[in-house]
Amino acid sequence: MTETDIITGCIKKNHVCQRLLFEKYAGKMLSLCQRYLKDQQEAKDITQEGFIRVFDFIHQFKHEGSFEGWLRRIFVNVATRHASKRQISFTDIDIIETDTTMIDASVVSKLSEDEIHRFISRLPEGYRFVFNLNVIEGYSHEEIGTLLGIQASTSRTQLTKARRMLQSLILKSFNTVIV
Amino acid sequence: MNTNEFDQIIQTKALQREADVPADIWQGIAAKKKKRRIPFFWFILLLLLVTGGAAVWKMIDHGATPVSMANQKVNADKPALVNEVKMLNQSATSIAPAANAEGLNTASHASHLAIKVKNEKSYLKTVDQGVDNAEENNS
Repeated sequence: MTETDIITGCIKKNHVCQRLLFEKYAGKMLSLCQRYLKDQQEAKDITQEGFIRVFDFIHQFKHEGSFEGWLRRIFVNVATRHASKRQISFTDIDIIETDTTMIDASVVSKLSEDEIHRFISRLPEGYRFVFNLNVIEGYSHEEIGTLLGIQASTSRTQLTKARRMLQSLILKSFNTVIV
Repeated sequence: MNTNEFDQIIQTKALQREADVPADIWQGIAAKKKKRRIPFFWFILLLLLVTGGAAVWKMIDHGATPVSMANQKVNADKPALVNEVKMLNQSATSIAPAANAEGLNTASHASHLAIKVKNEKSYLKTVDQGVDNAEENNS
């Protein structure tokens, strides 16, 4: 069954197609939710809510871009809306300045997907949201501002600090400083 | 390594990651979908009840309008009134010649009966008119 067949089936509320769609994307979408929400139960709840929303609005998918991209946007919206209800804190944390040129690209490339995920999870909430939205999902600072109810400039500042902190965590963890 | 390079590697790795999905996530979705179907069922049932109730109420209400009640009463009274008028007519006809012969009291009684007959006839006419109007309104 092709992805188009599955989508068509989901539009017709076919339970088998819904299950197939879930099995195909649940891992990636749960991973996305876990990147935004530290609490595992919260991440699971958002994954459930996201899929229910996808099944409700799948008829609105226009087949213009990738389906995975469309799915991601829905899950990102659900996760950010959920987190915004309890106010995301955009605090600044003092970190040791790290020069990105000091990190070897080959070393970062060797990091596993789970290791990268763990490093991102260690970022404070505000940094994590902005980093995920901009670097991973490709949202502009203006879009992030609208989504999180903050200024675009705040988003830029948070991103710079988030990137520095992430690099610092990677350096600390692996001590891979190239002189 | 520059910032773009760093971001690119992180993005690729993060997008590739797939978490282990606990079985209870799908069960939760199925349960939530089922839960949402139940209110929908109740909504339809309520809608049917309200529509049915309104239809029954309208029928009952229409059956008990003042016009229809008046029609029923008029139709029930009509034969009796017709009989009464007939009897009065007969009495007036039989009494009138005798009254002329016997004197004023009987004559005035006869004329009183004649007036009553006239009134009853006019009432019957009004009743007939009322029935016609009511039937027109109902149709």
